[in-house]
Amino acid sequence: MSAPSTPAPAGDTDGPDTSTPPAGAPPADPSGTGVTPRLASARAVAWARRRKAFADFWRQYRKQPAGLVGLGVLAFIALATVLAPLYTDESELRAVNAPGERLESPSGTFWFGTDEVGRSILLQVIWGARVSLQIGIVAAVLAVGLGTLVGMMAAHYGGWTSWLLMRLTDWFIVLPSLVLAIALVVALGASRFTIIVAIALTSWAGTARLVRAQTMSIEGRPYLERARALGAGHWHQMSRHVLPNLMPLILASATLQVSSAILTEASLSFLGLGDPSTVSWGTILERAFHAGAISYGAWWYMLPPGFAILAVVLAFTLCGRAMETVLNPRLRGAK
Amino acid sequence: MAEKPQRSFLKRAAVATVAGGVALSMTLADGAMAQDGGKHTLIVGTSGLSNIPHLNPLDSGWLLQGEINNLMYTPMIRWSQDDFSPAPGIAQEWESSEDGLTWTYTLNPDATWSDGEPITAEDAKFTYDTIRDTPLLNSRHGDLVNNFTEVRAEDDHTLVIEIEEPSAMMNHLKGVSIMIMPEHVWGELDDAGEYAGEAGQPTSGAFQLSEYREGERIVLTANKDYWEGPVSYDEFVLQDYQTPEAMVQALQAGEVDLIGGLNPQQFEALEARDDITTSTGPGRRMQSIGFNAGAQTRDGEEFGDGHPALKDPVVRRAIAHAIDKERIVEVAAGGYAVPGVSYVPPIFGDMSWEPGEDELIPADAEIGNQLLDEAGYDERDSAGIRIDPESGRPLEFRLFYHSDRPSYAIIQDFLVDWVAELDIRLNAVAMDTTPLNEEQEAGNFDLAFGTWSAGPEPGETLAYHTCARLPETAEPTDLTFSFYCDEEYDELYEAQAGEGDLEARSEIIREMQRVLYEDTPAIQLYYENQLEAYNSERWGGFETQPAAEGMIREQQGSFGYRSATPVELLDENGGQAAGSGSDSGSATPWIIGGLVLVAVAGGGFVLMQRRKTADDRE
Amino acid sequence: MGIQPTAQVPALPDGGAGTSGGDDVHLPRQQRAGSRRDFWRFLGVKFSGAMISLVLVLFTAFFIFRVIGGDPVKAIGGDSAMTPEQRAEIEERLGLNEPMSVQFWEYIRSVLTLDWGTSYVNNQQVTDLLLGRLPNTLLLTGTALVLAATVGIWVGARAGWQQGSRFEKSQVGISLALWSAPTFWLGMIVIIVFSVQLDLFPVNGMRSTRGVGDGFWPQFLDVAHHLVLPALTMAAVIYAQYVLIMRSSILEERGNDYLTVAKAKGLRDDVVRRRHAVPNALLPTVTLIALQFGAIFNGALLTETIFSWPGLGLLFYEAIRVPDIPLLQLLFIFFAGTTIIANMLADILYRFLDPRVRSSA
Repeated sequence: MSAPSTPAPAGDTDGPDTSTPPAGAPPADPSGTGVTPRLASARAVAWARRRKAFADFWRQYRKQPAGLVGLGVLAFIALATVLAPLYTDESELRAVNAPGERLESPSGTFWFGTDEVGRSILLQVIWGARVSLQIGIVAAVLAVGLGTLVGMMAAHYGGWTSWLLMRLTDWFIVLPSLVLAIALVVALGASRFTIIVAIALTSWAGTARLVRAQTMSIEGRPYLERARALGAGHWHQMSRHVLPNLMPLILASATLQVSSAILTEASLSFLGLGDPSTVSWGTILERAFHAGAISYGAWWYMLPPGFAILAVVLAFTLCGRAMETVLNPRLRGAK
Repeated sequence: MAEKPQRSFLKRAAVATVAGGVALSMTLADGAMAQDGGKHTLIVGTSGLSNIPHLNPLDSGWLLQGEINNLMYTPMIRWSQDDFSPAPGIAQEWESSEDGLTWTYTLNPDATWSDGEPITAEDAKFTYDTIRDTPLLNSRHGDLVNNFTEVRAEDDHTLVIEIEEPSAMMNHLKGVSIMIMPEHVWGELDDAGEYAGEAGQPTSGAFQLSEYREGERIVLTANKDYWEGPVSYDEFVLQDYQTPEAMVQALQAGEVDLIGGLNPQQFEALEARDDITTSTGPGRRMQSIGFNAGAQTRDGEEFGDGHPALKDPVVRRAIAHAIDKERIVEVAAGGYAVPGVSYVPPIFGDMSWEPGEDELIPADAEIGNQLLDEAGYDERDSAGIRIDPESGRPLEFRLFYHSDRPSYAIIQDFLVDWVAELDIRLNAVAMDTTPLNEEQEAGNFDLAFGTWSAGPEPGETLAYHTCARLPETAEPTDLTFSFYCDEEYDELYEAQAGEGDLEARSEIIREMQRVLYEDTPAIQLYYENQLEAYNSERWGGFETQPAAEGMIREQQGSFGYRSATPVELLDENGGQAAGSGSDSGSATPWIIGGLVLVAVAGGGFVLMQRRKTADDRE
Repeated sequence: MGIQPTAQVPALPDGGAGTSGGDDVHLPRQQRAGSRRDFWRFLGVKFSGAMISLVLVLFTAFFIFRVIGGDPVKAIGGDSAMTPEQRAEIEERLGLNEPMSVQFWEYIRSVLTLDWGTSYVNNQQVTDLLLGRLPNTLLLTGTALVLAATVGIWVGARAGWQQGSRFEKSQVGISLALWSAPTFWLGMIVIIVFSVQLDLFPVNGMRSTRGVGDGFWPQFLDVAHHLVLPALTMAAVIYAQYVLIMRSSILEERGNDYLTVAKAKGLRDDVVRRRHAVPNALLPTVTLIALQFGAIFNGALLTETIFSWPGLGLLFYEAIRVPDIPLLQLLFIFFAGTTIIANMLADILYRFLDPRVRSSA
């Protein structure tokens, strides 16, 4: 069949085809394993179901070596970032306290050398992770949140609203997003906040389309019809039935979104549109470039932040792909 | 069986592409060197060519435009190579009447246009009339020509200008900012303001325009019969680069011959090479911190949200005491700068003021604290910050800096710490240039970084501190520095503007700088050195302005470019042969980096793949 | 640079969740049974959709760049002292004193008359600037695109066919690693290794400063020489999506019966792939690639900036600094408009070309 579309959740009218209910998401199926004759409290049932779903998910995920490597790298970086205050001195990031000489090459004291003021590159890369990750994750969560909202609304309400929302979505999907993001940051002024907003605004549309398709297929399922017949309101249907089913997909989407958000942040910073008052990987590279690291041959100034970006983006991508594979058995099945 | 050949075709194509690319690069790299064989072309790398709107010599706001103008035209009066004092150009000599209202200029009878026509007083009269009558040009040069009551050519080589008010500008007629245009060509133009530079136009200087690719390059051809003596090469090219870094690499690759505007790291990297010679000298760009000395209109209506305590010169001065300019020069400019004093950099010789022993504001927070205590700022709030007795507000100021200037980010760090020693708090705020300018122009700031390029006519810069530059209504304006207004200073400004005598004028100019230094509406941090480098395997003989330890590029004249000489033509003492200058050794880290990249990408996956196959076997 | 989600989405197409973008390609499938009238309706829907998007772009272009505000006067006045008269003159000339509504009508008028005005900086017609730089961008992106697409599709097809093989895994790994590297950083490293250290290629720009003579071949070789590094860098970054899309397209095809039949007929594996699987997988791949047109501009923007390649991306980057509003507006509209139209054509073409859709129409 039309190949690129098939891996995507089944199309609008296809209804739930076999591949659509993601493996990790049997939870909301009322005829599923969760219902016991003894009628435990609904909440307990739900939780038990979710625990089981998660365990299933993890069992599948574990079989993805690339995903495990990605997860390992992320865990390491997260740990190094969170614990940074314990083993480094943040005040050495200030020019006043620069401990080294100008552009020292790597040595026992400064593993990755120093910058043009004498600050340790390693220290900057460690602290830069905070900003890069923060921007990446917050922007991704915002984008996916917005995308989910728009997608669900478009699917649920249909008609005029749906048409309008989907036009908007298409519009955002089509536009060259970096160009738009640059324009937005320039218009709003560069700061951490505006960068996050610009990234989120230019990257939610893909998720919206995805969520819409998935929502439509979920809403077509019998138990939702039953719920509607029992008088469930929009809010109840959405929050209790549709959203939990969407969750795995949203999660995978968000994971992938983080990696592109980190790359966008780096690109914006490099173009001189980064948040100047903080250190992020992108701003380190920007400074390296403008300080003349290439002419000076200061490779230690450029390689570490670049590899840091590469590692994190790759790790998030691997995790996201592994999650997708778990969710879409067709990909997994191939021998 | 069509597929077999097809696949190998792809492979072969890939191999051929790579091989071809490499071979191509080898041949071309060599070819480029040999190309200019008979003809000598001086290629100057620059950045910012795309800023330049046109090449109208009468409407030039950019240094780069000025450089090109100077290569193509000779001004009436130029700025001397030694110290930027007025020196003969087309005009050999000039004098004023007793009352300073009639000025007579004698033109060099040898001066000719590149098409052979003589340069006459009629041409000069035509030029000044054109400027007066063309709105665009008048807005730029009205300060000079609107003061003229009559311009007349007494004969071919004598120009007489009558003026309304005595004016110091008559001594230099705005130097290189106004070039005389040929009446026999420009007389045909409908609107001189529309002229954007045309190849082949007759010029009065060492070069003629032969190609102008906007934003990319400008090519000038040497005028072999230049009346002041032709240059020793054939062609001059100004080549645009996006970044200084790209320019440096182009110099290293032999693509350009001379570049400027380097940073210390680039400068030192180039210094280490045998085939490249570096040159540095004090420049005219200064970096400063401006105070909001009380934003107000000409009528005294206050606006903006500046801290009231900064209206008090004592507070500003105390902050100046806390700043160690030497240290800033060391850290932020790599030592390639001169600690700042006031608005006229020392390269302008006589015009520049140096504080005497008792006038100097030394870097000593003790003195600053003492000043503040004496002036009544001796109470502190709970955080230990001094309190302004008049407004009751703590001395807590915002310090705006430009987010795209890495050196400001560094300096800002130091300032915060140093000023804290006065029990004054600075809150540094990084901002984009545009919003920063907007806030500053609206008076919504306390302290802000700034940069300024001073020209040889100090009046242009000093005018920014006169009360007349305050806005009429409470509107943002970029025509004043610090919203400074001082009666004594204004009187001095008026006096120098009408002072026809050079020495008497420079004395007033120095006095004005003293006033500014004492009142401290701004703190001049440093004057940046010009950092330049050229390919010394090809070129030598560059002369600088000022003649001692000056700059080659961005002169107020064309001494540097005109003195450039191909190495083959240099005599023994100037020329120097250098060995091949490819630096080995430093390649290794990059190759290692590349290998790591490949290893990380490849290795990880080989690893995974192993495990995967193991998994699959289960 | 493949940084934004549109680029990313197809870069990871074999996942069930992360993919989208294919939604449009779905449409034909649902309407397969439609009639000729449906086809015209489909055309109408696509066309009107694109038109609405374009109008939206026109409005955005006005508002977003007016908000930037900024002070072009400084950029025009130059880096030396300015007199009050001069400032007033420039403001008057640029019409910056006009109220927003007047500026807006001016803008609408300029859009309708296709007279986009002159650059604040250059006094040149912005359309001339655009047209002057366009061939350079086409050269760079075209080369990179062809390079990335040919190699990417070829590798992707093989990788998909040999799923689970060493080849597949290493190729997917390389693609993902390339996709994860920031374009500008890759460019910097390429410059250092190949230009600065090995001195094999010129660093930046498009032509030698020293000139290479007037002949066609010297000129051609000179440009080609300058093109190598930027084109390779850009190709490296967009390469991943071709590999991954093609790979998953092939994966989809593999499950189909006709291939089993073909194999059962005794055709060699290679032949089955080449004759049957690849052609069928190619159509959706090419369509999806066309849908990713916007990503190419993103890549061009960063690549051109790092290599000082005098194309539209660099022009945009330069204009942002001023800000040169008429130029920015035109470029934004051009980038967005081209992408919208390319998308529309891809949609229509897909429906037109897909044999299964066509036959039923």
